[in-house]
Amino acid sequence: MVKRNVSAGRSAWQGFGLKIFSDDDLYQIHLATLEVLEHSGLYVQSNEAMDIFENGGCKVDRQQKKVRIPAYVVEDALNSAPQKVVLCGRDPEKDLVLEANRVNFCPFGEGIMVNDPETGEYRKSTKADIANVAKLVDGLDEYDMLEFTIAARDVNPKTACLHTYEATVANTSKHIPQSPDDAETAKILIEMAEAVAGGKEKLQQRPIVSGCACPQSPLSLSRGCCEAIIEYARAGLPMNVLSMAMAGGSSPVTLAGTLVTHNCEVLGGHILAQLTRRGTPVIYGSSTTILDLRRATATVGCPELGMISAAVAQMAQYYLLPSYVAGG
Amino acid sequence: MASLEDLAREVESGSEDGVRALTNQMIADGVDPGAIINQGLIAGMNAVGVRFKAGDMFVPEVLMAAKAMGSGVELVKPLLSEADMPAEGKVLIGTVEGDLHDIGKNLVAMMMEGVGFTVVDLGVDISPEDFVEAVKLHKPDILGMSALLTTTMPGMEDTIEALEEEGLRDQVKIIIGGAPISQEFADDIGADGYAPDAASAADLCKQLLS
Repeated sequence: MVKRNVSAGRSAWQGFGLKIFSDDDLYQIHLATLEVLEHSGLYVQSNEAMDIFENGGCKVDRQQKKVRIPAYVVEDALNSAPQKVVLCGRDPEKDLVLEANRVNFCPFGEGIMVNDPETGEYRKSTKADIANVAKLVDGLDEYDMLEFTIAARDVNPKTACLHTYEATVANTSKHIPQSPDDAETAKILIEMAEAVAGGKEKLQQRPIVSGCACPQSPLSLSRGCCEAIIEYARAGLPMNVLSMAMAGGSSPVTLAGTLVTHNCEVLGGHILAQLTRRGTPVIYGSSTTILDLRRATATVGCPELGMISAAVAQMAQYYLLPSYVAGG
Repeated sequence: MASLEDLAREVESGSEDGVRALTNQMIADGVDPGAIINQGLIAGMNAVGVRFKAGDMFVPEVLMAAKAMGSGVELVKPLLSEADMPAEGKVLIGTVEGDLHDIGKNLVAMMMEGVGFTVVDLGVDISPEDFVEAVKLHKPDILGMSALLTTTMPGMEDTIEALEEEGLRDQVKIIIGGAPISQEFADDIGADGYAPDAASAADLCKQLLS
């Protein structure tokens, strides 16, 4: 039997990866981002957020609700954001570490209709459906955490996010991201999580929830988005700032152009978080895809989504931040 | 001499230069300005609407056609008084309170203008009170409301109620649209119509006013 001994000092590529850009390319995108943030700025719909940005060294035009962010503020925020984010489950066995290249899976969606699993009827999604999804995710080992998939349409829309948390926390002991609409719902969601965790400090030590807030493309942070980012930063809970640009619709039609505006939106959210509470955990999120130019609708199963997600992951790794990208 | 059908074709092919050249030529030749607009420019956009609905034309092509049509209208406008400008009707449109999404609304506004409506676009995040004030000010034939989020949809019902309270409900037809919107929701809240896309919205408006 021929001996083939282990090679020494050999570098190997682990797992599967799609590398779209070189580091020089990513640097170009970073420079373009700095330029847009400094000169075009972001539309920020919250007075409190504008205060925070201004106190942090940004130029604020109150009338236009425009925040222009100097390069050093961006770099500071990238430095203070932790490179490792731990998301906890009610069951400590289900805790997750998010770092650079580690890959985790969760379901995700904003579905508003379902095919009833028992009758096959095509109908509106309900709170009970959300509970069932949580049970399913809890039972599937391949899913590392929950994340919402559908809207509860049989409850008051103003409290739907609260109902969602109630239904999910009761049916899974994995980590659950919450989706607040504004400061009020954010505070209540955090309070609910504190009740589950056993108090404010316990929740901070072991964050069994995180937040998800979505900037609006192009280059806008709505009032609700700002308020959610601020509340979770104050509570020291991880916040996923997730943008969904549509190339050709709400961002440039080119891949690189879309990455730049997407980057501005996500980093804008991260900077708000860091200026609210330095060192608060943040996640670099993306559902960015293309606009179907025939039907004027977002397509989340297209090849371009895969390309953009791979590029976004590389961008986040360039910044040494955990990323969260759409799988389709 | 070029015909009005030729002008319509130039609009359809999105050629701003072509539209301007033909429009100027027709103006110089003394063609009736109203006919230039109706049988040339608007006719072109009507054809665009049909093809867009059928998935035969893409959004960028529709935008180019609308732009070309607009450049033709700009040339003809000085020749017509406000009263003589052909208009299918007046539409007031906006995205509801708490919602900043506007791509759909913008496409709808553009299609409506293209087929001959006068459109007043209020923008985004419009409260029921602001919709009411705008209806009082502009006196539109149709009010269109857009929403992307299930959490902001209720603003449509609130606005309809606000119009009822002010005694304005009967003076305007109300249409709604957006990703979470459906005919069922439109019926529930007492809207006059719902359309799933920009081209259908323009057709719906024509139907409601005929």
